[in-house]
Amino acid sequence: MDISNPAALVNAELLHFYVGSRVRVVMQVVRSDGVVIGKSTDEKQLVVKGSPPPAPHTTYVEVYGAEIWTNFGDAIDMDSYNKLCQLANGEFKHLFL
Amino acid sequence: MTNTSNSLSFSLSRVSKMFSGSQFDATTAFSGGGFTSSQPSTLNDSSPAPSNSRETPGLVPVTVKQISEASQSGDEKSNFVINGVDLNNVTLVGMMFEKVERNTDVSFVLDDGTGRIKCRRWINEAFDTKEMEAVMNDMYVRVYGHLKSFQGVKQLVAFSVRHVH
Repeated sequence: MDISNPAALVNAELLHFYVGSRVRVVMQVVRSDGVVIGKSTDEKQLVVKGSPPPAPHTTYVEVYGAEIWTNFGDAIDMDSYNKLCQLANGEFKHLFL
Repeated sequence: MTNTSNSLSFSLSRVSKMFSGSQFDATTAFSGGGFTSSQPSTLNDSSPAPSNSRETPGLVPVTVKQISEASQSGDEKSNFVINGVDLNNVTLVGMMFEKVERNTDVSFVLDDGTGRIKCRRWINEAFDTKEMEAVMNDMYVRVYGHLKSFQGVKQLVAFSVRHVH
């Protein structure tokens, strides 16, 4: 069991708290050529340096530490996810980090 | 992933209603929608336990971090305690890594973002093999299992591992 490297669930706003450590973000892919541009769940723009998987990806993608990309489908509830990020970093932080 | 999102939003609305306001609702909300057939807010209501006279929750959704903080109640019983509640059966959602298939069992590491825990699934019959073949590394899975401590290391003995859509 290893809890030395937790990845925080973030949206764009919370991202700057975790500069330098691992995070996971779900975002809507806007453009991907060399560098992926996405729209985060709180309507802000995110730039991810790294390569998305070669397989065709869906509209929504989760990036885990900028290395692992998971397709999340074409229709997710951004609002719920956004609230989840806020709760996971606020009130319920002790459950996660 | 729409199913997960739907159950997530359902759980979140429960949290915001805050009818109990305790940690256990949060646990339910953050485990990918704890709307299994077992009672999510079990730990606040007195849920009837059919075999014991004690109130033991049936199935508890947890995060790996919570497991790492759980203490054991007594040497013989080897029951884990989280927030003062005995728990045996747990459910987690996380990404699967390091899947190793052997003759008698399949082991893997589950990473739910709060930590990593070693899991083991015993292979007794064809159904077990089939279920484990359907899940692969880098895939989000929901695991139902039993907490065990082995040489001081907490592990999960899984009896169900399924891909989350």
